[in-house]
Amino acid sequence: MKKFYADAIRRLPIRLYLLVAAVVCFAFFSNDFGLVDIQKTALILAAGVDRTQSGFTLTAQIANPKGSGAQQDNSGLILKGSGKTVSDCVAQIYAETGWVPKLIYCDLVVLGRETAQTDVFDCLDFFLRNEYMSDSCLLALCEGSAEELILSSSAADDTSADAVSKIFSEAAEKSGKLSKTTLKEFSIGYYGASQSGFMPFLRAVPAEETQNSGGSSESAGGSGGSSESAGGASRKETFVYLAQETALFLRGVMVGLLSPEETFAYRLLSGDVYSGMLSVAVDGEDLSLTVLKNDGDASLDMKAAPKAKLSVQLTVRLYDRDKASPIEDVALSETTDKAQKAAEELLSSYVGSLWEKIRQSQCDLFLFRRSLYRSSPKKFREWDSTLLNALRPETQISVRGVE
Amino acid sequence: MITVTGHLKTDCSALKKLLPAEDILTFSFRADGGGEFTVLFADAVTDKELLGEQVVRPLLRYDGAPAASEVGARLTSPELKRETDLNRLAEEVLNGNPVLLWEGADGALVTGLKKVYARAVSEPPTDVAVKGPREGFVEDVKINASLVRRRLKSPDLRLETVVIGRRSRTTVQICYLDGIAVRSVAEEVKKRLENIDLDVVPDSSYLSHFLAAKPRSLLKQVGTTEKPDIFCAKLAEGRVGILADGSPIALTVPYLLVEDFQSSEDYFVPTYRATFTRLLRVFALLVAVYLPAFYIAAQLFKLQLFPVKLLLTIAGSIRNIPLSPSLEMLLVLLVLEVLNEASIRMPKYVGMALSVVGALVLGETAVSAGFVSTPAIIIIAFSGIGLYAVPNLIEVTSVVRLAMLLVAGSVGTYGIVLLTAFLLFYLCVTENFGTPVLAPFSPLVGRDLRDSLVKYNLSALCLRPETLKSKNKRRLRRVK
Amino acid sequence: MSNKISVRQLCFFLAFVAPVGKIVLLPSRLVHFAKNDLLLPAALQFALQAGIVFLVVLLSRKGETLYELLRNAFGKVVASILFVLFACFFLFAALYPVQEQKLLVQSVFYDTLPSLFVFAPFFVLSAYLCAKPLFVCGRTWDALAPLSTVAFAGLMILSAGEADFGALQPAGASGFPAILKAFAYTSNWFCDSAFLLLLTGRLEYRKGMAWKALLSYLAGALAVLFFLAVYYGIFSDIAVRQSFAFAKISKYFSAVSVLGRVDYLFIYLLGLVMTFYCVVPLQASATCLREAFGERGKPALYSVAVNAAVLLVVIFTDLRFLSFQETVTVKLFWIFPLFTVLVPLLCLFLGRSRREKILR
Repeated sequence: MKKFYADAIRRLPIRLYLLVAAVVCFAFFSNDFGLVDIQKTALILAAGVDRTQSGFTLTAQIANPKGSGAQQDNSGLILKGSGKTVSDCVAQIYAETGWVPKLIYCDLVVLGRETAQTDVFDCLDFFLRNEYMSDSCLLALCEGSAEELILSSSAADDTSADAVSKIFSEAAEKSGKLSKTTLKEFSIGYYGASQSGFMPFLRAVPAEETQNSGGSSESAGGSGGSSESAGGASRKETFVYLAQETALFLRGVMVGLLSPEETFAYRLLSGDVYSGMLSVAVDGEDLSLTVLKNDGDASLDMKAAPKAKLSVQLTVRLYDRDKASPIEDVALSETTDKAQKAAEELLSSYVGSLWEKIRQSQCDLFLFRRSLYRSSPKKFREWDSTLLNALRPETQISVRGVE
Repeated sequence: MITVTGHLKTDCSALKKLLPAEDILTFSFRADGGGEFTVLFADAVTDKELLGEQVVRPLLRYDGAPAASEVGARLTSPELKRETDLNRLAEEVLNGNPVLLWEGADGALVTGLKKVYARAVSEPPTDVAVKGPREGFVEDVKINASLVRRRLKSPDLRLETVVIGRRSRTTVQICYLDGIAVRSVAEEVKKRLENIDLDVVPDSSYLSHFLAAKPRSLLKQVGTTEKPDIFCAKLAEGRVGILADGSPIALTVPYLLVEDFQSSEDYFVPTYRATFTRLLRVFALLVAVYLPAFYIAAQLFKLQLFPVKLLLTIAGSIRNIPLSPSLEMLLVLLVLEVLNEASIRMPKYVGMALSVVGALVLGETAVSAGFVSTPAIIIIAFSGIGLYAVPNLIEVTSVVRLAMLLVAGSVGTYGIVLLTAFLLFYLCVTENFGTPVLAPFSPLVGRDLRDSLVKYNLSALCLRPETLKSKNKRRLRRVK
Repeated sequence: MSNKISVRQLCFFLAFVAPVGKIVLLPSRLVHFAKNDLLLPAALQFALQAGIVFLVVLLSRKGETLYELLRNAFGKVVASILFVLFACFFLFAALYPVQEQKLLVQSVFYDTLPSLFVFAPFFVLSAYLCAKPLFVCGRTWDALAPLSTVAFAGLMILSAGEADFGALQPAGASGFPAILKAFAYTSNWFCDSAFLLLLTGRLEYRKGMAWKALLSYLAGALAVLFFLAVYYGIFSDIAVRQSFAFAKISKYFSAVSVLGRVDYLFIYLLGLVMTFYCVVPLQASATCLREAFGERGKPALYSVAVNAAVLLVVIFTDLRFLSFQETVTVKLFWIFPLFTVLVPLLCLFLGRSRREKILR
């Protein structure tokens, strides 16, 4: 008997290995522990959220891969769900389509104009809370409803989401024509000392060319929870998307809208513009200047009376004239003092207008309140609510040509 | 012990009793001086021509005394041994060495006239080098020993013989460089070999089982090589080698895992190239083992591992595949293993047809029929190629790959991490002959890293590996 | 096989393995209490632990294990009782790291919340590791050090550029009570000295070992503090929401959006190192039981018992993590300094009294 037990203990490790192997094999072949594999998944690439009377609607652009034989085409399916919270919308999509919506690849969240009337975090809360969603996704506010924008057909791309993602490219951002933000950045602004943030404001503008070439799919809006996708070569209005305006937010509520010029000024002051274009009129002649170097800065000076130091130092080159020029001028592309002066005046007016918008909206776009908090919490408490009104802007604009 | 009596008939019949086999022949002749002689030999393994030349002919005119020393002086065979024990004589006959008996003898003479049937020394198919020596071991232990001796003309080279196998009586030679190899390791090897009580030893791989500290271990614990240059290099580092008669594969101990990532060619090419190829082997092996597993785990549990465009391509490819991703991958892997196994065993002319069947019929048709997806085939193909970057570890790595696949399909990426942790720990604690298998990485031996997965210049490798604990540490004296 | 842990292996543990356990939930927990002052309580904890580590390593000059020290001082029975207490402490100390690992696995290794089953294999591995003698860990640390370094450096390279270190200002804004709270309620992450206490007598003592251990611990501490700074620099006001910090900070690197989540390679490597670190208190607990009860049972028996106990707690607290966290880190936080500060200090006196005994 003793020998039997000794033998059993000696063989125990092997039996344990076999047991573990058997369990692993069972798990492998049964192959379902609540896992959601690629076949059951709806990969949401872009989401549009609108506020409704009863809550929210979520319009999701999902990836639609074709079979290996077919041409790759990411166009297509749009899923819609509605509910009291965004999470309810997602649950409805799951319930009505059987596909599990996954937000891991969601790179764009478009909010309908209505959502910005109240705190946008009523709906963004879901995205920030979701452990399986990246907070590096882009945020945008759109004119009208997000559903319409997502459902609209792009004149330039397969889907509206693709087209919008393209206009948010890094190159577009460097041109200074738009300012983009991510969920993380917007949340930091919202929960931080400034309580402010911004989002690019999207407009869908009908394209002149409305003929849609055959093959790409189109989708149209529908009732909650429906899944719609259609192909064919029907004539349908197509759109181009503009995001040159910027919506300003204070405590999650939209409080102002920057014009394209003000957006450009904001980008210049942020110092992130490397290849932007500036058009000025000199002696009745229109000139285009390209920005080669941009040293922009917006800082807070609390030494005496509170001051906002706004400075833009540009190095530009003549890029184009609206009139024919001698070949020497074409070769050198030098900017004249007059042109530089004109550019400085133009930018001063943009910056002035921008500052006025900020003051009116009380959106701390340059995060001055945060700077004050970081440098002196005591002064922050003193100036917190009145800072933007008390700040006197000190603008310094300098435009120089390449030497 | 039964000894030679000096009575020819008695001795002959006693020996014949010990060797009743039909191929044990006797040849008796009478010398001119009247003396009677009998030679016992094994038919197929004795060189009969030399027997006539070197033994029979010189004795035909012998008329001297029957003392063994006197008879031996007449023979022209260079390998002579006097033996009185009949059992040992029987053993020698079986080894192919004829035994000479005569009337009134005070002992028998064993003549080294064994007939050696050996294939020519050629390049081993498993270890081909573009640069470097092309000789490989053969099945004869003596030739193999001579290949070693030719490279190590040192009196310190010790070749200790052990006979293993109750029936096969296989000659096994333990080789080491005295003063360089750790004496206790050589003694331990000898002890373990002598303790083997096996009836037949067909190949050296049988011995490796007995030399391993954990015979059931998944890991390899004894180094193998078919090349005398590598074998000698290992002896020079302080290892102990084992040559077995009938096997072209030599064994070396202690074994370090890193050995299998090194090739003899690394020492004949520039160091940067050697380092690059070694790292490439590691990379290939990691890809071979992990790629199928991560592919499955990503599809089933963690899509984020794929960039979105790749994911869409994969999703498009697997859209109509009836099997789950894990089963699909397992199927393709099994097909690869079957093809691999079949292609090794099949004759060369059938192998060509097999390649066509494997590549076209199974691969192309299975994809177009929608049984398996293209990414699965690409991944398994890549994995299959990667595995052969380190051919000496294939037995282990192919099992690990399968285990990874099973774990990835059942538990996902976390399963892969846990299995890796298990393997890492197992490797860390495994040791053989007092040497950790994962050295010089664990335990970390800084100096030995110079010839591990990276390779320094020869001038930086003045000392023998510290891991092998050789007493004689210096192998290269610096030129002043 | 040498049954001692070398100086190098100990230093590798302190510099490369131990810090890894402090970058999962600790950062968000520190932010929860101290907000942007998260570096201060962490630095205080590290400073305190570094001192204790130094003293504990000095204790191993004697060459006697803790059990032997206790047995010589108080007799076998008392030593065994104390070791059972130690085993209970390590079991308690293991609960949070194991839960942390479970949550990390659920969040980082899967796209959707998986069942508890997927975490069960951890206990199989843990049981295997715990059945091995403690000194074999040394070799594992040798192997883990380069992996940890590569992974940590990789993550820092991908993420440091994204950090706005200005977010750490203003220093001290959260106030002394908040910092003190953060210091106290994160004690469970700083148990390294208690574990080292168990290694006493198992270390291959060399001259200057204590200094080397101290410097290694401080090097690891610096790495963690830098990580915390980067973490807060990236997430600033939303840092408290960012659990599993190390898995999130690198995704903002521009190449990640093009190549996909290549940073997962580093994250999984750190996950591997973390698995071993997570097992350390369980190994310690099993070892204590083994020493307390002598050779009466097989090592596997203690290992299975310890792991089964933790598994049960994990199952029970599966959906009660917040209250579990509150209990371990807030209500029962005092247990940790008791065993990681007070007991090691008392053991020093134990060593001294013995020396005096010898001198007499």
